[in-house]
Amino acid sequence: MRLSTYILKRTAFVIFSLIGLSILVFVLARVLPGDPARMAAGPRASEEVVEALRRQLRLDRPMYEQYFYWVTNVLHGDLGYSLVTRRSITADVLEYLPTSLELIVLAAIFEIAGSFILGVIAGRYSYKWPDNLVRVASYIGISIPAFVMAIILQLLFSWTFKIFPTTGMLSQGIQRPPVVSGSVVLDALIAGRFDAFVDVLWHMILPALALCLGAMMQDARIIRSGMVENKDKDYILMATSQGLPDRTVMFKYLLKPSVIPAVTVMGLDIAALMANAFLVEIVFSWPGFSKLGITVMLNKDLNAIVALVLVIGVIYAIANIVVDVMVAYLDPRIRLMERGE
Amino acid sequence: MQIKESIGKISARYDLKRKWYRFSKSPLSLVGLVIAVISVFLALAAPYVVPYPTHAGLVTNFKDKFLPPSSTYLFGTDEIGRDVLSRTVFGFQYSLMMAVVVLTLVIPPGIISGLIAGYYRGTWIDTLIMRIADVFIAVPPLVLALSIAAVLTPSVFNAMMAVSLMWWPWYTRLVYNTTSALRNEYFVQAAEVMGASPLRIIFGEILPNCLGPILTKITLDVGWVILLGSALSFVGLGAQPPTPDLGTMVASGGNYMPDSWWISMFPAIAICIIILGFNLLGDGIRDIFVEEAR
Repeated sequence: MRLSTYILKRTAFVIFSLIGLSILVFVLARVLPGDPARMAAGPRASEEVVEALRRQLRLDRPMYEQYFYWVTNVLHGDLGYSLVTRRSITADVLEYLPTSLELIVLAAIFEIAGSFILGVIAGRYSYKWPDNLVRVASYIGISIPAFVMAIILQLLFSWTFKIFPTTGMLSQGIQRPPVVSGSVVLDALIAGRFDAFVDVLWHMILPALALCLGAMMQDARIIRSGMVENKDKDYILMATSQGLPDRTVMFKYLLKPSVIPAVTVMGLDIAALMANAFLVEIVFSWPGFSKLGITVMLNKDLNAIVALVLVIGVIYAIANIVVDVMVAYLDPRIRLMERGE
Repeated sequence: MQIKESIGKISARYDLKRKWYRFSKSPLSLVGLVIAVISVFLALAAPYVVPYPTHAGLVTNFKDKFLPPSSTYLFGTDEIGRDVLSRTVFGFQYSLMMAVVVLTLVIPPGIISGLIAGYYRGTWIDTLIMRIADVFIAVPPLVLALSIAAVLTPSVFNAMMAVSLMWWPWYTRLVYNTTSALRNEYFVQAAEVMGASPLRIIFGEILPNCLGPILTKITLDVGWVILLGSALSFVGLGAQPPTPDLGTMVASGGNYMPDSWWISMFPAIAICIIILGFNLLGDGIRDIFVEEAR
């Protein structure tokens, strides 16, 4: 009903932004110096070969025609041909994206669980030592970039204390389970390979922590402020004076309005997770999207760069819609405001 | 006339004093200020304060390579024997230069587009500006910056251009929100009724009231731009070696972990401290304006 209209509205809005994004990256890749046909053919190819390739890639047509040709292909699931990996970009994306996504999902789970637990503890014991600890941690958390956090965690927990593996996805001697979904965790479960499942998770813990620790502290602090602010409100006083147990007041009445700001911020956090995955994966040699991304970027593979930006844009858009819907669900004021229009 | 002027001067001075008093009440803000001042000082005075100024470039000193921190080399030496401390201090130069250039390029267009979109709220001008801004926000900033830097061929200058290109919409959004809230205030309506031109209202009435949030954002952004810049050079799409950029140093030191941890760890800590400093400073400035609004 109302919520569905809201979702539709948000989706239409996001699709509009994505069209804009596709135009932006496409134009940037075409306007900036460098001849794609020459790059595709190689420096020693003759002028005729380059000319033929240019015609084949439709680079001799006007820009808008090129764009529509490209968009039509993208909508059919064809992202083009990568000049670096020498194969279809769609295939590359399907191979590398799932391994990155599983890392991001685990980081998101850590982030949400951790921020809730820490935020509630800090809010419950506000202005006491657990609260102060969370505040200090949030200042430190915000100042440590994810790639620095990755290096610190790696140095501490895998080099010095040797608790976690330093790099990679699977230990030596453990075969990768047959690819079904692309995500190694899921594939291991599908194949019933419990050893691989545990091993992958074990390899994922440090990268996921490096990704989420900073944002986790931030969110914990936002939840904490929400709880402290709402604690003095009349409806809480009423609930307490009616003799409801502390636990019920806290989790049923206090927590829900207090998490709304944190959920809103999580939209931005998803952006941070996706972007930071690029850096953290490098530190841990995780064979994910960033490996592909950095390779094509360093080699100036325009087709692939454009495609990757668009893919990330789509994932980001979906994640943002989910967050918006969650906020609307948690906060009836937003739904009602939409009704007023 | 003269009396009025001097009253104005006194009240301005008083205002500044009051702001400083509020700011100085918070120890964290003061820590931020101290860190920021020290970073700027180190960046400006780098060639004069570091022990080995020549080590900023491509100097080789193989007999001293991979030395751990000691009294001669406080932060140790890197793979070709350069002093990590000297290079880290020079790294402040690049980081702060990045922040200054990017913010100078980004703030004017960001503020002006936000003011215009907010003033003409609800018209096609608003829609046009804000939808264009949304396009730049449709991808995580780092990803877009990485891609643009890659397309432009990696260098310090192109990294600055790439970061600037995706940074302005955040100012547009911030100023837009403030402006569209101020749009219906009485003082703006009064100016309109008196026949003031849109230009005069936008820059004379609305802009001065946006300065608090803008100033806060600028301070916080110094940290974020430095972070983004170091991330770009960390993956090899920003400053190129032998430039003593903090991100580049962290990345190249990564090859010699864990035995020579100091090569990447000290520049990494330096990045963290700069970001922490400007964050604390920004929080302090925000608190001044938030309290004033109350």
